[in-house]
Amino acid sequence: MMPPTRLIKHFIVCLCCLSASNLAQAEPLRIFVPSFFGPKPISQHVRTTIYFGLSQAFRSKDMPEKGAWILYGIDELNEQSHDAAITASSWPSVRADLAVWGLVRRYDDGVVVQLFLTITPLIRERRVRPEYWTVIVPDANGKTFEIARDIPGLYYEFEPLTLKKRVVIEYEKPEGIPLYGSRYGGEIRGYLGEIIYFLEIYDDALLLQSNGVEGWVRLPKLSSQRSEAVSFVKGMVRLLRGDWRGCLEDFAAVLSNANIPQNLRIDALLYTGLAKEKTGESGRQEFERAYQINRLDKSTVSYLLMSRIADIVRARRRNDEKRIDVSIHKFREAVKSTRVLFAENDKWFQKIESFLK
Amino acid sequence: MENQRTVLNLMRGSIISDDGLTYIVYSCFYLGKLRAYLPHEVITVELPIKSTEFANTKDSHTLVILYALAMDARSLGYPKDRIALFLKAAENKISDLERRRGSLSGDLAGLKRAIRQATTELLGDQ
Repeated sequence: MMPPTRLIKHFIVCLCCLSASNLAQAEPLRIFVPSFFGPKPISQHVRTTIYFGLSQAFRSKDMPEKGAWILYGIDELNEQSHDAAITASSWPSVRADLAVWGLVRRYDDGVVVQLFLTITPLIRERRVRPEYWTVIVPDANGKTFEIARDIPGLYYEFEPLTLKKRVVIEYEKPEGIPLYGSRYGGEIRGYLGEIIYFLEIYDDALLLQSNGVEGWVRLPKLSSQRSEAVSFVKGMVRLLRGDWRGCLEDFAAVLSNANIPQNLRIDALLYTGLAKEKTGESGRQEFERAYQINRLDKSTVSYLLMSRIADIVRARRRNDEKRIDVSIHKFREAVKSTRVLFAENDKWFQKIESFLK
Repeated sequence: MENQRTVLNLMRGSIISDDGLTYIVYSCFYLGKLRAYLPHEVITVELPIKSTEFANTKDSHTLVILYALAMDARSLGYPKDRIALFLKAAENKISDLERRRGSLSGDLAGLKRAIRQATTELLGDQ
């Protein structure tokens, strides 16, 4: 049983991930979940549900994950923006690598939830950055050509969710989220307050203590739509920690959802391709799929160009002359057709152009 | 708008109901010279006010603004890579709208054609 963790009013307290990670060099990441904007108490209960959803994703007894601290913020951000999320995440008491924040609004006959993910500049301060991709090409003279790229996106907006009517009715009640007598429901023993002690976390329920009452929280499905948010956030954490197998699983889950914004689909493909490249496989198929979706995406083109170079390296290692020729030809074509997406004086692209010289 | 060079476009809207139960919002965007590839200077976006239409309402308005920004960058002589950033985002919004609604119709269909034309010109397509 995990030791209880107390949430203290006006302070941020962590749901801490214990035990050593199997990724010895990558530090645990901190995910900040501030109070959501919107009418009370419904926005608070939605936020708590999302927070619990993330907690379950990272700390479920059924499938324990390692490497994420999830911070519960009592206050809202100063404004509804990624900049405000970065500011709040940089407070000394927070120091969060990611922020998951949201906005709940009434719209005509229903309630809509907008969820956002902000990846903060703190990720660049980590000692180890597994997500940073470098391709190194040795030449016959003992010199090397190196080209590198950081992750394509820092700010994400997920598909808006319309809350189920049943959830709206329950979450509009001032009492809030009920604490049940058993993991599967039953009598209501009390309701969740602001101070929460986590006792056990499972995939389908959490055992908590709040307002002097111990009971189970069964999280409802907020919407009839399947949200990609928790899978995407989990995939990002695993990517940033170099857990490539886990990253592939989570982004596969994201991509299996037909109802996600296109820019998320593109980046999920890029992250999938990146994870493959990091394990020695070619990610070119994923990068090409992303390119087919939107030919104007500069990050996609960057990854595609790097993967073509990586293909040349792999072909050279195998002494596959035919493959080398094909890869070089495709690389030249790709450079020519995508030049327009980069500034004239873009140093990264100039380096790419110098590769075959 | 010609006297206000920092104004990207003008927008006005109406909310109308025939039966007092269902409401439709009509948003009219006046783009002026930024219409570029569009047949008219005004685009009208028409959507029901329902929680299930929230994402479409937001994205259709965003799409018009992204097009206006791309055409503004073009008219100011910005380099192509800058224009590409707006058109890239616009292409993503077209896809999101079509995913939810099926094919676009009315002025939004015309806007899609205009964006595709701008993209073709930018890429020097092939």
